[in-house]
Amino acid sequence: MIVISVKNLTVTYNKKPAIKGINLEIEDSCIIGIVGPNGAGKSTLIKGMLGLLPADTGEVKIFDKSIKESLKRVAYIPQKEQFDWDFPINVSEVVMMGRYPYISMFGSPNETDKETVNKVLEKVEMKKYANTQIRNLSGGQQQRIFLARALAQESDIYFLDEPFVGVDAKTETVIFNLIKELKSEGKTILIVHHDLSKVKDYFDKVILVNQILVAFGDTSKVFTDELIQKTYGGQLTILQKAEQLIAN
Amino acid sequence: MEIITKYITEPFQYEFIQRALIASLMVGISCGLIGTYIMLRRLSLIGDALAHAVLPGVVIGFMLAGKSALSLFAGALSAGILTSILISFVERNSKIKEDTSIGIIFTGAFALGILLVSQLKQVHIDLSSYLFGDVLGVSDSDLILSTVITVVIIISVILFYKQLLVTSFDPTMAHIIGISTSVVHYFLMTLLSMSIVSGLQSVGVILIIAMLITPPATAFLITDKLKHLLLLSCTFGILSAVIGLYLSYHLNFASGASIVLVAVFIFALAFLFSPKEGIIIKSLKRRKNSKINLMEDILKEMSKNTSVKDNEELIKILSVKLGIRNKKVLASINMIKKLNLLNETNEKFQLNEKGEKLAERLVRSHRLWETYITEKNIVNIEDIHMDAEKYEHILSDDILTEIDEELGHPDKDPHGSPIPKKR
Repeated sequence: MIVISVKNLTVTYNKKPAIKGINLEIEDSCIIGIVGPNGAGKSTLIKGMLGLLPADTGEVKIFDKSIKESLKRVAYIPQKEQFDWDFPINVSEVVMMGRYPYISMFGSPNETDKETVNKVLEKVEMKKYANTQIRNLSGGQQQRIFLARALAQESDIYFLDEPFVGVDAKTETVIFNLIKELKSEGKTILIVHHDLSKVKDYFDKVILVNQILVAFGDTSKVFTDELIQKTYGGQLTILQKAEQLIAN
Repeated sequence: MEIITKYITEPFQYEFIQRALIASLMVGISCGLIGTYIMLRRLSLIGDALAHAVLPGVVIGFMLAGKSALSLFAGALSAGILTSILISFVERNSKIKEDTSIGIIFTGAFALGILLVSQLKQVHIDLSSYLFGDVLGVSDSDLILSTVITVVIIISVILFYKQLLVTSFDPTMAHIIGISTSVVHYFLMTLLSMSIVSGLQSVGVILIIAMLITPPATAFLITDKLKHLLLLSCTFGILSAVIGLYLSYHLNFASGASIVLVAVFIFALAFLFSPKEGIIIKSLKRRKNSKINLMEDILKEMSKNTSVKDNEELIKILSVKLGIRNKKVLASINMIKKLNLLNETNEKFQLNEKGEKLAERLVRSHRLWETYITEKNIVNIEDIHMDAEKYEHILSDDILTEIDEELGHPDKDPHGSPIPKKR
């Protein structure tokens, strides 16, 4: 089943196209890596797919509906730098946000919500930190909290932006085991990733991107020296120069 | 005693003071609640801007509908909302950044307000009471207005607790779960304009920003829980307003200024003495820790130098070894004595069993850490001793056990010295 379809997506960031003409059809039960050099538009691609950045052209459909209609079935874990870690909030309150889509506008969390929060905190091995303010966690623990929040959301599609950056080995294992568990439940997980060494172990499919979509397919077929070279090599500079001329 | 009671109760006999007190209460609550979100969302500048920008709104309101609490409210509210929209509009449609945009719009609006006041002949407006506040001049209708505003703000903060929380902490998440960040933003701007109106009479437009950010900032130094933060900001807001009011009454100070100075004074207290963040408390803790570290170093050395002839020699050796004065060594030894880690037999300091055990733990901690950082290649080999000197004092039993297990219970450290086993 196709869960996400992206047609001709172009997103401009700071007046320059960050990604251009992307076409993708993504299926269920799949772990997909989004791979490319720094500044290739990896994060922009997922933000564009989620409608967090406005698209110049193109169309994204999730479960055959517009993004707006199906956003609640999507969970997104942004890069860690995005947060104010001094914010007066503790671990269980962060995870409870994942339950907000299930709580009415003026309502407060019920027993099911609280149970779910406890359950996912156990899954990421963070239960004993439930009342800890988030500044007092290690980098890996912080990442696990946001995974727990995504799990509490009980979504069908998960977007993770660089989840393994600056985390300890234990966290990496915990996160990856949970991702595999999600896949076995039929969910699709998209992961922005920059460490090429683990790509073959982690992902069923790979999206190679550098402004344009270089390749998309099974890891064994797409993650080849030739295509990696094409993604990381300098062929795209002409395109970038041309875009700059247009932007001016 | 009687004087104090009189100081506090005397003003109550006047109706205008009773009104002023209630007005102070309202401004404390409404600004404390909204200010918490303004601080967390880093909107202090916008808060200041809206406060200034309500002035032309008030004047135009009076021009169109006559001088009344309602026209003040309507004028101020529309000016506040319009200003916040204008600020985002300029920012979004040019390369001007938000802070610059704020600066342009609010000074422009404020200047317009002053111009209108000076030109306005048909309605008399006492400009200085709007600029600097005149809490003793609060009328009944002002009071009703600020009470209504406060109630609306309390209800909004309770009802929209989730929406305000998620949009403040993680706007991206809010967007994904279908909560519009811009709707919440403008809703908050509306509440902000309302809280400014509630403080207009008592604090004045120039200083009202202090009531919005100083009490929440004070509370933020004390707690890291949002609900406590909201309650504490209200408490500090009310305290400042009420104490400021008394000062204003008894000493004939301008009310806005004295309220704000009290708020800043409370902030300074928290900055210095807050148990979590206060700089004096933190420096006391650091001093205490460095004393304990020195004591532990001396303990370790004493357990090594058991063959010294007398105390004098011991103190001399320790002072040379640690590079500190005899007096300091003696102070540390006295600390060890007080902790019951030391027996004094034949006028000679001798660690007792407890003291020896502690010294051994420090040695174990030091050598395990050296082994660990060498094994993991974390620190250059020539620096491992200095690193371990620091870490030996802070490593907990749990971490030591974990390190010991991870290294496979090593017997010797990188220098070949034996690592004491856990006792």
